[in-house]
Amino acid sequence: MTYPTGHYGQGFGADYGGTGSASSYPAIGATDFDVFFSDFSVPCVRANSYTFNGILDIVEAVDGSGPGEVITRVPTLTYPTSSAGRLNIGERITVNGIPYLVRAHELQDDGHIARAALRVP
Amino acid sequence: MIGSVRERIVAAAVAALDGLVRVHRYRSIPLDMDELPSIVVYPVQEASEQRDKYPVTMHQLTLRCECRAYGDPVDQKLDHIVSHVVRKLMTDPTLWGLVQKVEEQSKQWDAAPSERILGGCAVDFLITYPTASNDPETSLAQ
Repeated sequence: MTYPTGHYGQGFGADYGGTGSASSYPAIGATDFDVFFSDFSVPCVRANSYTFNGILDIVEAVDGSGPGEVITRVPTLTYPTSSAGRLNIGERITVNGIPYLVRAHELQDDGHIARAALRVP
Repeated sequence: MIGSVRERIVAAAVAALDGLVRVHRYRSIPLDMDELPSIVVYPVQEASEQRDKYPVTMHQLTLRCECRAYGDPVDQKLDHIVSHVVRKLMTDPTLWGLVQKVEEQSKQWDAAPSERILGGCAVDFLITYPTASNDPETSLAQ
């Protein structure tokens, strides 16, 4: 089977044996994040009821090879680390009211933003 | 059109597996998650050898039954599908007189994280059957 890589270039593939590398985010200042997230984000709630905003992407990928391929959906949450801290692997969160489990997590670039790979509980 | 003996073997396997989950034959487009659990049946390879003194060619076909499901733990979700595959294809290891023998050859599991834990188990069978050397549609198994 093939493991999907992150939406923004190399990403969560590194958690499952990939090489991993710096993401392809454009170089933007930390002060831009508030505008960025206020325009595109949705409300999220951590297991401890702490609320923050993040951007949910659901990318479709094809798993496997040959006649048994399956189209999968890979939900990924991008958020400013200053607003939510580091999510825990296995933590239950809600994104726009929908429950998810955090299955992987990684900081991006200088650590101002983070991405969490999610799955249905 | 009856088709080759190999074609009849694949068709017989698909028919035998029907009943538990959806059975697909050699999918050319990916399955969607809402089509799972499923079994995809397809030939992987075939070795053929002509017998010296007779106009007979012996074939050894590897037929794959790829079981796909999601859940956690995914190998457990696949287990009853894998058992179904083996039970149905080994009910009559001559496929009702079509082949010389059917043998369970190997299983290979795999899993991938996504929105749900997606898993697969490829169950391979080695199927031995003779045909007339000059006609792949003529079975000489009987």
